[in-house]
Parts: sequence; C-alpha cells; structure tokens
Amino acid sequence: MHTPLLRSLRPLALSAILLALTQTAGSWPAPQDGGDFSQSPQARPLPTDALMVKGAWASASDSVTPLPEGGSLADNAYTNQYFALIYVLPPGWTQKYYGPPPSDSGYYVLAQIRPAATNKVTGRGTILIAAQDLFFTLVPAANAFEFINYAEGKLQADYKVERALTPVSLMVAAFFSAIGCALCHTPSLTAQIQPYPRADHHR
Amino acid sequence: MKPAKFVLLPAVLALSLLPEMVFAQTDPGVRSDTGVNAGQPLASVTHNANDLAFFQSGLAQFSEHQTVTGDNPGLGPRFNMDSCGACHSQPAPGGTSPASAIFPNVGPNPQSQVIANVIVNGATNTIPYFVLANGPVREARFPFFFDQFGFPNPNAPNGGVEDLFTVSGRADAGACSLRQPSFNAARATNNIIFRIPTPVFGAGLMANIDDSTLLANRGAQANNNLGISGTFNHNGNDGTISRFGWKAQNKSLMIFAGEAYNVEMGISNELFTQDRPLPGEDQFGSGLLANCLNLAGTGYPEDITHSDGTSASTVTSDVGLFNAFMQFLDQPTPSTTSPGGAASIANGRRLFSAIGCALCHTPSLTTQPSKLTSGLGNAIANLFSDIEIHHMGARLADNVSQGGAGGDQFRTAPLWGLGQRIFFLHDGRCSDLLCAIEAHESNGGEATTVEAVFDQLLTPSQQQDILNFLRSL
Ligand code: HEC
Ligand code: HEC
Repeated sequence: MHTPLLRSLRPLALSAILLALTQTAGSWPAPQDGGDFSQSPQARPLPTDALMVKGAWASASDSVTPLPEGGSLADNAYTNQYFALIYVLPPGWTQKYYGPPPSDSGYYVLAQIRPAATNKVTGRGTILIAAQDLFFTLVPAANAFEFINYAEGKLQADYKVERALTPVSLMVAAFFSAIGCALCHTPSLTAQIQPYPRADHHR
Repeated sequence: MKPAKFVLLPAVLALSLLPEMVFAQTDPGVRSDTGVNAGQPLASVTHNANDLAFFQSGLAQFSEHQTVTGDNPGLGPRFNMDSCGACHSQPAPGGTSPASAIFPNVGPNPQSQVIANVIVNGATNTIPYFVLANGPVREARFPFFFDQFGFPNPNAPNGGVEDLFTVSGRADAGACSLRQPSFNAARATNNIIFRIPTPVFGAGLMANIDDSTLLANRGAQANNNLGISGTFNHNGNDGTISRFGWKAQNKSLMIFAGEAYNVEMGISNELFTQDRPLPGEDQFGSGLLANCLNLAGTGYPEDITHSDGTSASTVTSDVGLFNAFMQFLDQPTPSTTSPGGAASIANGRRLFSAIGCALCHTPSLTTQPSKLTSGLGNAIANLFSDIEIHHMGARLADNVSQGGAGGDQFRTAPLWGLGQRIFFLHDGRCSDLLCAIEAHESNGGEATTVEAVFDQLLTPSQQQDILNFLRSL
C-alpha cells in the first residue's frame, strides 16, 4: 500500500539532492554560448612553450624494437641502439635542444650537440648527428657514395671541398670527406647502415 | 619486405678561436632613409590603362571603411576591424601593422582606436588586453575550446579566429546584442594565441609559382647538413600546394580575400556566404541570434558581383577588387646601400646563404607564364621563402593546426620588405631582428642548428652584416 511507495521515494529524493549539490559545487555557469566563453574563477593554465597539437607526425609507432630517432645522450656519448652507434664526445658537450620529428622524406635529426654553457675549454661549435633513409630520400642517390658525391657537386659558392671523398674502412662501408666554408669546416663521415632485419617500417 | 637502408650524417661545424668582440651587433631598425619602397603596381600594370584602373579601384576598396548599413554595408556582427587597409598599412596599403612613432608614421594600432573612432560602442565592447596603441594589430585564436567547467579542454582543439569586437550598441546595429569572447579567461588559462597581418606586396608573384618549381627547390635543399627538411601544406579542394597565411593554409589571393572579408570584417561574400559566428557558437551553440542576422538589410551574401555594373570595376565584387589590387602589387624594392653600406649588405647576403638561413628562406623563385599581366610571368620573385612549412619547435608553437600544418609548423616567412617592417614572427612578439632570429632555436625545431651557427660561429661584425642585409630588403 502506502509504505512501499514511500520507501522507494526516499532514495529517489536523496539522489535528487545529491545531484543538485554537485551542480552547485561547479557553480560557474556552463557556457551556453559554446566554447568561446568562460567565467571559471579557478584558472588551470595550459603549459607554456609546449607542443600539444602535433598534426601529421612521421614516425614509427613500434614501442618494442628500437626506433631510428630513439637515441640518447649520456656520459659524453651519443648512443643509438637502432643504428648500433656510439658517438663519443669531448667532455662538456651537451644537447640543449632536441631535434624535430622525422621528416616525411625520411630525414632524422638524431642529436644536436654543443658545448655546455659551463664549458669554457673547448671552442664554439655544434655537432649534428643525422640520418637519411634512402628509401624516402629526395636526393638522387642509392648509396652513401652517391649521396655524399651529390652533396659535393651541389656546393654553394661559399663552400669548397677541402679533402676529397675517400673510403675509410669501418665495420660498415663508410666515406669521408671534408667541406670548408668561410667560417667552418664540415668534416663528414657518411656511413651506409643496414640495421638488423626487423618488421620493416616501410610497410 | 625490404630492409631499411640509411646513411648516417654526422657533421661538425666548429670554430676554435672566436675573434675579439669589437662591438655589439644591433638591429638597424626600420629603414627610413630610402623613402617608402613598397606599394606600387607592377610596371606592366602601370602601362595598361585598364589594368591600372582595376588596380586603383581595388586599392580604393581595400582602403574603404565598412559600416553595418549605409553605402558600404555588411560589417559584423562580429569583426576585428572595419577595413583591410587599417590592418595592412605599413609602410603602404597592402603592408602590415603600423606604429605611430615609426616611419612612415601611419598611426597608432587602429584596433586600439575603435572606441575613440566610434567603430565600436564603448558601453558594450572593451579593448582586449593584448591590443596596445604601440603594439601590432592582432587577431586572436583559442587553441582549445573551454569545457563545461570553463577550463580549456586539450582534447577539443579549436584554433578558429575569435573576433575581437561586436556591432552591439552601434546606432546602425538594431537590437543585436553579443558578448565579446572571454579574452581574460583565455589569458588566465594560457589558451590564447595571436597572429599579426602578413604583407601582400608581391603576392601575385607568389600565387604564380608552379608546384613543380617549389618541389624542385625542396629537392635541391634536401641534402643539407643542418637538420632541415620542410614539407608543403596542401589545400583540401584540388590538393595542390597552398601558400598564403602564416601556415600556408590558403591556396589563393581570391580565397584569402573572401575569407578575410568574412572573418576580419564580418562581410559575407560569394566565397564565404554566411555571417560568421564564433567557433564555439557554431560548434556547440545555436549560431548567431536571429536579430543579429541580415543587419545590412540586403540579404546574403552581403558582397556580390554586380550584373548592373558598367565597367570592370563596377561589375566586380569587392572580393574580386581586393584580389585585383593584391595580385598587381609589385614586390618591395630592396636597397643596395642602406643600412650599413653596399659592402656590408653584400657580405650579409652571402653569409645568410652560407650559414643555412637560405635553406628555408630561398632567395628567389621564378614564376610561370601569366595571363593576367606580363609582369607576373616568368618573373623572379625575391621572396626569401621556400613556401614550405617547417617545424619551428615548442617555443614558437601556437598549437593551432591548419590543413596539413601542425601546432609548431609555419611557412618560412617571406622576408621581402623586411627592412620596413615593425613587428616580427606570427604573433608579433618581436620588434627587434635579433629577437626574431633567437626564436628560431627550440626543442623540436628545424632551425636550431642554423641559429646556433649564427649565434656561435659568426663574429659580431658578421652578424651585423646579416642584420644590415635583412634591413636592406
Ligand atoms: C584585423 C586585421 C585584418 C584585417 C581587417 C584584414 N587582415 Fe588580412 N591578415 C591579417 C592577419 C592577422 C593575417 C595573417 C593570418 C594568418 O595567417 O593567420 C592576414 C593575412 C592576409 C593575407 C595573406 C598574405 C600572405 O602572404 O600570407 C592576405 C592575402 C590578406 N590578409 C588579405 C586581406 C584582405 C583582402 C582584407 C580585407 C578584406 C584583409 N586582409 C583584412 C589581418 C587583417
Ligand atoms: C627551418 C627553416 C628556417 C631557417 C633555417 C631559418 N628560418 Fe627564419 N623563419 C622560418 C619560419 C618558419 C619563420 C616564421 C616563424 C613564426 O612566425 O613563428 C621565420 C621567420 C623569420 C624572421 C621573421 C620574419 C617575419 O615575417 O616576422 C626572420 C627575420 C628570419 N626568419 C630570419 C632568419 C635568419 C637570419 C636565419 C638564419 C640565421 C633564418 N631565419 C633561418 C624558417 C626558417
């Protein structure tokens, strides 16, 4: 009769009160005009100098096997598992800013290294470690030799070849050349690397 | 499955001895001793009476102030300014933000004067905190929508233009009552970014560079040892390379004119046919209120092609005239001697290329044949841009995605006319060239190594040569 009905009404009333309470707790008005209006008194600022909207981002998404761009700088050496590479640095050099994401033409900025602010010993300069995936390259070159040869052929007026292209032997085939300009010398060691076979990221 | 084949490219750019610092390099400032070096029509336009008349009608229309009703109707209901020429004026119509105290004294930021000049009603509108008399003209965007609690929601990207002003309270605006967007709340939550006007001198040349030329230029820069590799923004309609705006988000001058007429001034037209609500009003709200629609009383679109016109300029819509004016504007004329003298400028130009600035800021590109006027065809555009978009990193990122451009990707800013510009970078954060150059290094940015070379390997006098060169443009 009446009692069962009353019983079931009570919990209902209780939940209605709770609902009202939650609404007053967030008492600033919901922006009825859409997301261009806010009266929130409790500002929770977004981070500054942060990239939050990336857009298209060329990169492998495999988190198990090492990625080309996945190297790191520690203890005066740049180490990259994907390329089985260790690049030893003079003491006091550091990476102040990490590089851009891999490009859609397969160019990878692996590390950008410069003397630390506290380093008063070494001269000034920067070291850039980069890699080019020859499958995607815009350069008409099929191997390291052609790649570096093409670069030398395209030098601007300000640059000159200081040391001709010479093969050097490493664990992998490598080519050495040195290019100079009015203000810098750019010795470059270009090695062609075929990382160990893995699920191919070219699809 | 073909194994990946890489070339590894370590490069050391080093200098062991830094010559004595003799003097500190400084931005020579806006070039004022050579007169105004931009804003003229192409010579081929001057020599053709019809084209010149068309250009001049376009210039008049570009400079005209619009009202809600009356002879030049359609303004609002939301808008950023009442005239193209108000925002694009330094150092001549078609340019960028003016400043009253700087050559050629175009005047204070016009957005700071809208109440004084009775363009908006001071009882219903306030001047947003970021609009300053001596600052740049600004357009504002909220990277993210606010959620139901009034917090910016990182999962709801917005990025559309938030018009600064409303027509509410104007004598010609009837009962339309609109609030301005919550600029203070957006500031408190760091959910606001700015864009300043880009100049349109030489824009017709930029519009007339074939995609093949741009792609070949990209290929030629690909083999660099400086960490740079750009890409292009493409438009969604025909898929070709788009080129106008800070993110190269727009395909053509006609589209930009139609968009600006609607977004900046609230005037619907044959390209963008509806009055524009704020992004949130369109996505989550109910659009514009009925009493804010058709305020001009003309019906839509507010700007049309006139079938009753009697000449090219009286038939053509306002948007068509803006287009004619912009496409016929010649590129700015650089100086060979000012500032700093011919030798310093020439050396600066050489160094600009040698250290890699020119890998993005391509000194010149050649246009394709033109049916419009001979001056636009097979011409050399000295734009100092590759029209590519590049990752500029976290420091410059505005977290607005437009077309294929992500939050930190920007079109290489064309540098022609730089010598007579006052404000730099997409949000106008710098008015000193060194500040603009410094902003090129950042986490995730492509220009970091080039900036480091500028900073660390050049002597102060070489840096000065580059600054003189930039101010000669
Ligand atoms: C409130 C100031 C303002 C007004 C008014 C204005 N603009 Fe602009 N203009 C801008 C801003 C800001 C940009 C940069 C927009 C962006 O890329 O985000 C711009 C960019 C442009 C560009 C791109 C040029 C390039 O190479 O990047 C064109 C073209 C242009 N405006 C034309 C016009 C025309 C035509 C009008 C009048 C219908 C107009 N603008 C009115 C502020 C304004
Ligand atoms: C990786 C490509 C790249 C390189 C390299 C580069 N820039 Fe830029 N530059 C840009 C982009 C993109 C912008 C626009 C950034 C923005 O507004 O957020 C820009 C903007 C500028 C501006 C401001 C122009 C304006 O319209 O406000 C100046 C000045 C400038 N660069 C000079 C230089 C100099 C000098 C160098 C060499 C030291 C250089 N740039 C190297 C891409 C580059």
